[in-house]
Amino acid sequence: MKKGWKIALISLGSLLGLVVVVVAVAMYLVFTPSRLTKIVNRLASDYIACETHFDRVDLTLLSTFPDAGLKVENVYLVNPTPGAPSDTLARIASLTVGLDVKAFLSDRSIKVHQVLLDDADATLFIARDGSTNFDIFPSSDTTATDSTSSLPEHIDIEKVKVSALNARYLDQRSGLDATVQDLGLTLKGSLRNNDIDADLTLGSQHIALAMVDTATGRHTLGALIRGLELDAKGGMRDESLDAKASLGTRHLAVRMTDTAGRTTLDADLADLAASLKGDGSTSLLSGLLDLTLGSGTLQAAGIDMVNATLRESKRDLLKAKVPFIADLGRMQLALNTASLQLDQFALTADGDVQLPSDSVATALDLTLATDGAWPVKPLLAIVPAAYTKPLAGMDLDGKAKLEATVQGSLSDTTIPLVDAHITLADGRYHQPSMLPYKVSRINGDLTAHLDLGPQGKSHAVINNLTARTLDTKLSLRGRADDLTGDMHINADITGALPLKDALPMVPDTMPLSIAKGAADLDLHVDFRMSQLQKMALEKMVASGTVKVRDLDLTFDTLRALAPSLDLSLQLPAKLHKSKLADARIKGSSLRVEMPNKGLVATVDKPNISLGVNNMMREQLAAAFVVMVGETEANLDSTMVSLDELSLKGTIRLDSTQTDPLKRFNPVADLTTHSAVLYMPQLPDAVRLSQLSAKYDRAHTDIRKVQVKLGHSDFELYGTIDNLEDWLDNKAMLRGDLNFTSNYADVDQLMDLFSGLGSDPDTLELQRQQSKVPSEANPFIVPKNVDVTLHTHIKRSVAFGNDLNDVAGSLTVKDGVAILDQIGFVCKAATMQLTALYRSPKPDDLFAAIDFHLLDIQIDELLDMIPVVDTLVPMLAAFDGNANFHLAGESYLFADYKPKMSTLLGSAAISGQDLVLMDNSSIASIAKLMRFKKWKEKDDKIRIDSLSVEMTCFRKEIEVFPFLINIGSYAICASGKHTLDNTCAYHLELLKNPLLAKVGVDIKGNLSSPKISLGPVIYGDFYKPEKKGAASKKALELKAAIRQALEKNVR
Amino acid sequence: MSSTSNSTMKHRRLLLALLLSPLFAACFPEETHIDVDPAMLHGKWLKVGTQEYWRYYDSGSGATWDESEGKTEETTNLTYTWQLDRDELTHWFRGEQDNQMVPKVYTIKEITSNSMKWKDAYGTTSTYSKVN
Repeated sequence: MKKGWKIALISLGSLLGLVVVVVAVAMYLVFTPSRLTKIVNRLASDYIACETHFDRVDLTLLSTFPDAGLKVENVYLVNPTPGAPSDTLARIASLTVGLDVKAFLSDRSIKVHQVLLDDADATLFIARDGSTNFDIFPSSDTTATDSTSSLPEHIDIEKVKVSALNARYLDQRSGLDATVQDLGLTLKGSLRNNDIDADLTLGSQHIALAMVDTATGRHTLGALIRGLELDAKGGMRDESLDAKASLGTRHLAVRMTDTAGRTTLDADLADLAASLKGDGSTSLLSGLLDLTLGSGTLQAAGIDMVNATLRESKRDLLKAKVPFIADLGRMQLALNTASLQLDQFALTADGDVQLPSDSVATALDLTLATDGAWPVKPLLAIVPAAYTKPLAGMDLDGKAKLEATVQGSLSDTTIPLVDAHITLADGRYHQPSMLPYKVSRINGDLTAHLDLGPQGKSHAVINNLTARTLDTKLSLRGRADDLTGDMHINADITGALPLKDALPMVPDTMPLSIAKGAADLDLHVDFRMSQLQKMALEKMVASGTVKVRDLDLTFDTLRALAPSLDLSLQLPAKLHKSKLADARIKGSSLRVEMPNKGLVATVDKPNISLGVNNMMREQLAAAFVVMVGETEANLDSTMVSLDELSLKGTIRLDSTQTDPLKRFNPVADLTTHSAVLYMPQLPDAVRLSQLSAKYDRAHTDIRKVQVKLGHSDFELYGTIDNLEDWLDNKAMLRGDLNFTSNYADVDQLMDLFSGLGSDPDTLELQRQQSKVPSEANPFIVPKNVDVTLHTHIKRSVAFGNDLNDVAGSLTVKDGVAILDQIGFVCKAATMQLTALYRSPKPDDLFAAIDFHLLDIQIDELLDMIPVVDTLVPMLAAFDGNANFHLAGESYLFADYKPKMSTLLGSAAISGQDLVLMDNSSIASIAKLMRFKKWKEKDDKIRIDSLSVEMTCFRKEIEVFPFLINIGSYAICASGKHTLDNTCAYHLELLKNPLLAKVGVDIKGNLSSPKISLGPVIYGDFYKPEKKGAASKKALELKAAIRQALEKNVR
Repeated sequence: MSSTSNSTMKHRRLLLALLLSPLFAACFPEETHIDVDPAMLHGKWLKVGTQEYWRYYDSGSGATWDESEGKTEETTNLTYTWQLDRDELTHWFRGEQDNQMVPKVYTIKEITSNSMKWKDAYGTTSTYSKVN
């Protein structure tokens, strides 16, 4: 471009030189316009290598006085060039050149004092091949001119005036297309040695500039200036400058695009006015720049730098008043309280600016300060939207004051460092998406270090920041790093708040309500903004204490009340590794209520450690360690009182459930050493001297429970399964427990657990339907349970009998109780009992027993089991030890009386060396059978052995034939009696000294039977070789009965 | 005096009875037996004058129950197996726990399609009517 302008200027100079020559010739040779015109036209072809036409050439003195002037009119230079927008290189309506006559007359030198150009058009064109349409002078060699041209030592321009100049410059090699329209210019000045005086006025209605990428044909630059006015006046003498200039334009538009066609800069400015004045040496130039930009738009890199708020403002868009001292040689500026104002926001700047040169980049060392407190909201309103995206939805206001230093170089790769001190007063903040509060009375003092370079990191130190929201006061100190990236905040927060103020922070999914309470906070937080926005609490760090007073909150169905609690928080969790956060709660006392379940618990000195999950995303799941002192809990009419409790485990909230166990899904390891349980169902308290158990939904491991219940004490350990499903009637409660006891009141325990698992209403209805007497209160076997107790009881009482060393299994299985081979010692007898009891209805009970008494005294047997006397009335006549086997079963009425039509039983008694008790019946029989010397010397009747089998069928007891050896006598007895005391017995004397066979029948009422002679049936009963069919049959039946009974003896 | 005389008389009678007892024994009449067709037992029998039922299946099983105490064939615990040897009917009750063996033996004295009479070893007779 420079080369093109040089060619143009040289051409123009040559043209002027030609004119001067013509004028001189005209002045001296021709003098008349026609002659001059002819001469010029003729000579032009010698000097100008294109078609020319001079319409009129005239000498003038008046219009250029005192200089002599040459005026040409209607000059045309036509030089058709391929690609040029016009054939006409130039059209000049009028050109007048004034020459210094005195200089010419004195030394024949030609000095041009005036150039007056009016109404001219010019088109300068450079083709891609370098050819131009203005290389019209044969002697013009642009290369030579470039290398040798230099300014003359003296230039004295009296007057240069251009008016109505329209020109276009098109350079196809560089892609430049420049147009100026209606250019007016006046210039007066001189250059003498290095002294310069100049007075320039320039104006144009339209200047356009376009640059095209010659490779792609795309416009890369476009500029438009309308209404340009430039007025500059000044001079420089002895390197001392005194100048002032003003520049104004109605409209300035610039648009730049990159090679891809994307707009990189789009500026449209209106009413730009600038003035610059300075005086002093070039190394110490004191000046003032005063700039005003009324309005405009500016888009850079796709960002609208002048947003709607600025565009609509009635204030000037930009004002600057910059006093400076400049060192033009070093391109340095020293600013002294420079004022920059964007809209209403004014900033003062002091310091040094290094302007860029070929070897030095721009460098700043400035101190900036706001001219007071800036209103934050209006300030944010003028910030380009691209920079306020993080503030979307945020209501932020306040008064901000800034003092900052800006130091460093400014280049494509470097940005100066900024250190700022910001004070904020009377601020407010509301951004519902980030914080569900309106924060007000924000006052703060912050310092910031901004390194906005590509690798730079910026941070801010929050010296103090206080704020209020609702009734909460908060104070914050800390540091924020990586301000322009993912901000990292490390801060201490202190404050005081009513707890209800915290509710907006609680997720909707968390069933928390707060009636009252206040807290003092002392927290430390360390997190990144991205973590906060995503609520990635697991990546955030927080710790501190919360001191709570007058707490009354309800979480789900649990209500907690406490006069004071100290809460320690730790995020991430350290104690509960698998959880998000730890919380430790300590206090003097805590009251917990579950109103819908009637639960009330008062805890002394609670010490609770909680590990909770991310409740912002999930339903509550927590791990806990609870250690409490004296605690009292009430559940409906049930009360638990304990001295201390250690509870460790987890809970997981399932808000869809209502049952507490299902709702909280606890897994707990429980230990307590002293607890008392009061239940309305139990007349006495349940005292737990030790309880150690682990509970979860499917499995409960009872490590040890020591219980005192009523008269009983026992220790339990074992497992219980399906407790929750059992409570939900989905599964059977299963248990396998070891039950050891020093003393157990079985009757009382049965009363306590009677009916467990059965619906009371159903039971009552059954009682009414069966007309069960109110006093009858049978044991109802728990239903839907399958629990086995492996018992070992040192002493017990059951059904009024003292039992010792009871060992065996008690199984309760879905309404059926089974005693499985319980062994025990009772009154010097070893016993084994297997029993089954079920209670489908209160009036239709069922019992079955398999009972074995070994080596028991017969009188003790009858005393212990009176029914044996009913079954075998003659047994009362014997004394001594016997083995007794009994099996039986019957349905029972509610008062345990058997339903006789269902009674079925069998028994076998065997003994050695028994004594037959003498009584009236025995005496009668002995007398009837004429016994002699059948008593021993001690008057006792001794029996070597006895083996009796009997059965019970309904009301009928049948005694199968058995043999009694008394001294030299042998008697066989059999018969039956009924439970209503009628009997039919038969005795036979099988052996006697007389060898007589006598049968005796005993019939009638059992208490006063009729004894008479009867037939001989069993004469050969114990002589196998002579045994008859009846005897065989009887022996077979006896054997079958005994074998069946004895097969279960361990 | 009178009592002494009576006692003397009793002693004499008893002595006589003992001496004659083998003769008496031999002189007690023998039981008569009938042959009962087991098929005649099949079905349900009601003890006359009661609500006591007995059921005989041809498989050899059966059950008895008394509706006066709310039991039915389905709810009774008294199930048995039965055997018939001429007129000797033996019932074997085992109980629910299968831990006992209770035999009940009766001698059928009469049986028709509508009625049955049996007697136990001690002379007690019971009469039943067939019900369906």
